[in-house]
Amino acid sequence: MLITSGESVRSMFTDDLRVGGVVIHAASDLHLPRPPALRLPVTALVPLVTRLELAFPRPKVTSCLFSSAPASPPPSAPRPERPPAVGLAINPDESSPPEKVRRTRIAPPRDVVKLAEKFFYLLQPDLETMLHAGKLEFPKQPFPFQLDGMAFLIPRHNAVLADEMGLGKSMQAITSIRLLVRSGEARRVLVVCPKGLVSNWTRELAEWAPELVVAVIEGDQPRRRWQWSLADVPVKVANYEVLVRDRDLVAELGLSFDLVVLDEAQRIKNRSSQTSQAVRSLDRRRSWALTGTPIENSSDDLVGLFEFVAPGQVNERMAPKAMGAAVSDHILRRTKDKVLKDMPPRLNRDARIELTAEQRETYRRAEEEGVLRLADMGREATIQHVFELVLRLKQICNFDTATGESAKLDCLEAELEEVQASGRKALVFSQWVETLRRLDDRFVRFGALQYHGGMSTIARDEAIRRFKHEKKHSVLLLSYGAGAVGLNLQFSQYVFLFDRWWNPAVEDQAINRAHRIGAAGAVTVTRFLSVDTIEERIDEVLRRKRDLSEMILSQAEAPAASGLTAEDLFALFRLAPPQRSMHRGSDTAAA
Amino acid sequence: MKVTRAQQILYGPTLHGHLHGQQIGGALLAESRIAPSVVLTDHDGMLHVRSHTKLPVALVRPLDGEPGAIGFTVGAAHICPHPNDAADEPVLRERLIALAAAVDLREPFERIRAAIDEAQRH
Repeated sequence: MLITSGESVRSMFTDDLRVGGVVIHAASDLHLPRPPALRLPVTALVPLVTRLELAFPRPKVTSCLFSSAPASPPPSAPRPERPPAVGLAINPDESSPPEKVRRTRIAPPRDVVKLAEKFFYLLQPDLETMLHAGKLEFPKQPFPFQLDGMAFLIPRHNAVLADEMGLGKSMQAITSIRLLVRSGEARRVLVVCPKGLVSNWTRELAEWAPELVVAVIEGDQPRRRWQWSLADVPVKVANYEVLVRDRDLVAELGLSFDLVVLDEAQRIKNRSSQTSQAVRSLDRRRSWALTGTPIENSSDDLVGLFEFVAPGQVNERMAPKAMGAAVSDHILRRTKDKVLKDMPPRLNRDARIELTAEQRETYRRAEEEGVLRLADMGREATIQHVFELVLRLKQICNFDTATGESAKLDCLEAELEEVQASGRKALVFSQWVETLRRLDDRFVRFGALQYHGGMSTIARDEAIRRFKHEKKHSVLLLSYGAGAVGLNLQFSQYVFLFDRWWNPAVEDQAINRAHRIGAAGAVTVTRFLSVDTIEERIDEVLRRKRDLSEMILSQAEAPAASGLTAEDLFALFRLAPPQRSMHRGSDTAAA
Repeated sequence: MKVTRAQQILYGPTLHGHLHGQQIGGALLAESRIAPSVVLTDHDGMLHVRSHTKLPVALVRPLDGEPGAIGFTVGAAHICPHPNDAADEPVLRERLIALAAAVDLREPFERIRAAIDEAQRH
């Protein structure tokens, strides 16, 4: 039975049913009372909403813009012609196979610590792309090792480019300057070079960085003051003498430079010299030194150089190996045999000359008398006395002072006849201007020209111009002092060292005027040596000491010096040097 | 980037696209100091950035890689535009061929990897 509250249902009972006081009759309708409604208050639970900010870490973005970054040309622009770009071999043509591309990357120097700064260098485009995108034009395509040199210089604030002579240090420095100026990293650049090379630098700057405005600091003091003050000139060129003279003026004007480049930087190896002090006093952010001979005589030369480049980096108490390690990230040195495998060879030959009978007699007398005098002086003999005797003997090897005879001259004349007949050109080096003049007198028929420190800069430049362009001039007579550095004479196929310099590095510099990039053919180098004379003995000493700089630069153990020391000079005459003349710094004859 | 547990839970199987497309790609585009006209990537995952930019996006592959059925070749690179940008392919091709006259399109990725290596060594 289903009983529903409030409804009328018929009883289904057959008998009356009594429940409590209520009687339910059988088969009658039942009326159940409606129960009161039950109302229950229901409070619904409101869901709790929690707002949680999920702070996902955002990547940190460091961006740097490269001024020479290639911009995408507008879509409508015509496809650009590919310029004859340097070192670039990108092939956008769909049909051609891809070429192998060389990329010269700028690596961060070891002393860069901050990650952001490292990124700056690591994310730079390779040099080939930068040069191409910057539409930099060059008179010649740089060699890959020269691009490496630029990649070395550009990121460094302290750098020595110590390439062997003739590998294009100036060009590498100029192109690096060019890129720094274009990127805005350098606005005030000072190039300091020997006086004789100022015109060379202006010429090379015009050739390799034609858009750069260059001012040469020269003339009288008011003019120089004005030139120093020029604000809108990015590159200034001064010679060492001018810089020494204007040291106070530069300080007074409060000049500071983004970059100072020293050419032939071996000039500052002597730390106490005025030249060294003047360049070190310059207010600068970057210091670059260019030299083919960072170590001419001893490792002290390198210490002197680094007093400018990176003061305190090395000191004279360091062992060669430690010194090599300390400077290894700051020095880049390449030699021709390593980087220019295809360069025409340099053929060396020693012409051993027998003195004429008269020369021999004069020589013998001079030596005997000189040695006797030195022996008599005993402990009073100084390095200067020995030096004077050596010079006198060397001069006799060139020309007999009594008769003017010269076995070397006769030999050289025969050689030059052949040079002239073949239409070639020759360089003749001597340490004495007087010797050059005597050679000039004898070699009029070869159209000989002179180039030495006794001539004005204009006269020297004119001599170079005529020697280069006028066929009738087959011979250029140069002094080691003026002609051994900076000149580009690679159109000469013959080099004669009429007498020998004190230091093989200087001789190498002289030879490399001809044997350098651009040399059209083999360069023959003839070194005159008078048999059984002081020249042979000096040569023997220098041969033994020749490799010092290479040893230090390769972090190897090295001897103390490569030039002629006081001991060496006394030993030439089998004399013992007195102790008081043995102090360092002044005992190197080649200095 | 270090993925958080919350990201893992919330994004589940779409986490990869979220990280590359929004977190990394979106941040790079937002911070860019020059206005790009196209986004190139050599990483498949970065194609997700297309959902967060109106710029055309394309994948750069080396030619010696797996040949793609779609796309075109520029220099030593094969370019696969994002499917959304298939219609823009002719414009993209024109721009990239012009750019490739100065730049190997694969080269910048080498620099980026070198920088990442350096950062991880740091």
